[in-house]
Amino acid sequence: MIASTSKNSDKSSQSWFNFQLGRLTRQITTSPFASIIAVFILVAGIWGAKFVITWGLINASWSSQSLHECRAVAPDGACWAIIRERYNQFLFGFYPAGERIRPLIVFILLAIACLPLVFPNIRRKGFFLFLAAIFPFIAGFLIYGGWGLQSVSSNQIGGFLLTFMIGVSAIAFSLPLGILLALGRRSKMVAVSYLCTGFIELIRGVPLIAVLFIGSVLLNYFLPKGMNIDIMLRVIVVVVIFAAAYVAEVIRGSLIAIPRGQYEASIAMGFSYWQMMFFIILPQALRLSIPGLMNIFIGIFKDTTLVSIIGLFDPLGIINPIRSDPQWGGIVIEPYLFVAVIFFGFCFGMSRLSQRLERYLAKADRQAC
Amino acid sequence: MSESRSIGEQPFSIHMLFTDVRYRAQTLQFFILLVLAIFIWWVLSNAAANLAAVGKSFSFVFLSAPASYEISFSAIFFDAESTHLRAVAVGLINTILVALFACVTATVLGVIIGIGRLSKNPVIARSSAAYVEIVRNIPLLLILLVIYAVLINFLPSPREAEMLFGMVVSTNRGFSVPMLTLNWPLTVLTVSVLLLWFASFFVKTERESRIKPILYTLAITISLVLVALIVFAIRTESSAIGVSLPVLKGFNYFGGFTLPNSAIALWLALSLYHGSMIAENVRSGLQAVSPGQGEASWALGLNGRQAMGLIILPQAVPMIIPPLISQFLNIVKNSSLAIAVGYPDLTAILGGLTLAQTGREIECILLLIALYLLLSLIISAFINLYNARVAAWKTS
Repeated sequence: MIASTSKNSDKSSQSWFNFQLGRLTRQITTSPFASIIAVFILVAGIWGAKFVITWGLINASWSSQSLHECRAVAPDGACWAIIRERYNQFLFGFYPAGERIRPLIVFILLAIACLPLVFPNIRRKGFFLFLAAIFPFIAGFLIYGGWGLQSVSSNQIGGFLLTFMIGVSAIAFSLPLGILLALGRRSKMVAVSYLCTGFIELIRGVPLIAVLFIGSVLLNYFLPKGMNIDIMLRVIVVVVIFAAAYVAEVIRGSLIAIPRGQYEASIAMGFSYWQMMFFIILPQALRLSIPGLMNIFIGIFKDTTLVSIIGLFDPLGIINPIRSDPQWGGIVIEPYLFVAVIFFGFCFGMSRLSQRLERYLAKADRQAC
Repeated sequence: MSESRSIGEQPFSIHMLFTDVRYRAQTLQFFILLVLAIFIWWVLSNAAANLAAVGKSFSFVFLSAPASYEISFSAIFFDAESTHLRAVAVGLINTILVALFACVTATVLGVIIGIGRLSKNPVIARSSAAYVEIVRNIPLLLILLVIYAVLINFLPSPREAEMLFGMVVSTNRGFSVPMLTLNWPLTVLTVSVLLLWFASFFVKTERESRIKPILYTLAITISLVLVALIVFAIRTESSAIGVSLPVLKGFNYFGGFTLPNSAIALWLALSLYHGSMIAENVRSGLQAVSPGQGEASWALGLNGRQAMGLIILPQAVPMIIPPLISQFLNIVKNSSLAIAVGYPDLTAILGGLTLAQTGREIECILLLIALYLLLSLIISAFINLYNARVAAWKTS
């Protein structure tokens, strides 16, 4: 009985396989041109996958003391020993070795605060909102220390910790600033509208690296003598301003997309401008903006790597001392690949998250109707 | 007897500036402008005080002083005695050159992959999707640094490099090809013939009202390559017409035309990265064409390629062009990453070399921002022009 069932399932899986194979063959051979390209891609893909597996896994060296040793042990393989030795620098930069638990706690708290984005149906939303509200203060205290904790200075912070500090602050602060700029650009007050438009277009017209130069070189000239702001804070301020200009354009697009009736109805109800915006317009506009905003946030997260050009030790900046280290000099691909995989993971996750959030909100809308 | 007044004709009093809706906006704007003016004055006075404290002044006179540094790659004549202004011009031309080439290749790549994503063939569709997802989720700077590191580490040194046909050689310094050396009159003649040919090409496509994407891009690429080669030919010293070949002298190749690896890396990185962005624009533009159009062309007996080239693509193009031009703007802005690999573009020269040489931070960065704004404004003007033309075409 059992044997016959398994035989049956074998047979059905066999026919399923044949069916799939037949479908695949039919699909691949839709047109001669396309099938030639498809075969070429398949061959290249299989060859590439084989190379990646042999180079990156089978022939790789996982524990060596120097690149020389790596190459001697595994001449045709990757040298992952560098990651094993330096992963702490990639994550935290030159953060004091004994204190690395503090940024780790910050990462975990951040992950917890982001849980409602991943599971929109989660209960106790108030708790998560409270956590998100106090998170900047806890994170600042834990990272910089003071009040009994060993204090850490900005130039010791690096790696993905730096990326997240700049990225998360840019995301958090550029949203309110961007909303204000968008409202200002659409304002009926001529002076406000012109100022906001000019500011947005000015920022959007220049590359981020030029804006970072302003932060790293010029800002000290424009402040009173003796008022030296920390380089980290300067960078965060200019990145926030940069991101806000792009956020403002996305939000302006959604504000235009809100039907006129919504504005007119709220004025007819006797709402003031700010009441209308906060209770009627912005909740709808922000929902419309989610895909655009998420794109900008992913872009900003990737663009934080530019701070390595002005001398901060973000994950890309950390690679330079490694490549000039006598023990590891000459290593090329492995550290970049490690950083690329982590960036890919976060950015891909964020884009998937935004699609999920969109679907959830669309579903909630349908249920509400 | 008291005066009778209608509502709204109350005598003006000062508190109405803050309470009356007719005046409140003006008051608010006045205060905003006042605060802004005070802020600007504060910033400028700080800057003046700080400059005075370090004994600097604010002037652009330094631009006419000799730069006293060498630039590895320039389209116009430049040596250490040339002025900073000339260095800025070199940087601007280099930015435009690399951005132009990257725009062309990124568009070709983006169109191919964007169409590939919608292919019925699962291998092509999936691999195109994988390409887009992988490339656009990795920082551009990382892609650039990896390509540059691979080029300078894995290509042979000039002494070990093998020459192809005795003309082309790729080393860890750069990529050398033979170059035509022309004299001035011939150069002017060639450039004008090329431009005329280019113009006639546009006229032709208008009359035939049909888009030939591959021919189109191929023609643009070839003419750009030729124009660039001729631009570089101008600065060779010899006035005779001839061919200059790359020749190994000592540790490097001299003669011919050498494209440094930094330029190749920047060009490739911008093309690959923005190609994936453009692919998404192309895909959404194609998907916005109603499916009935495709079905109707099938029903008329057109095959897949005819349906794409004659029916779908021409309708998708007006929707693809505006985001495409804004991608071009992004390419121009992102070409500023050149500073990370040492390609002498506008940022690397003004924000790097000249700034370090003269120590004039405010002037250099203001000029840098002004030039990028100028480039952005020119590209935005193209978007507006195109939108106006499409709007006029739709109403007519």
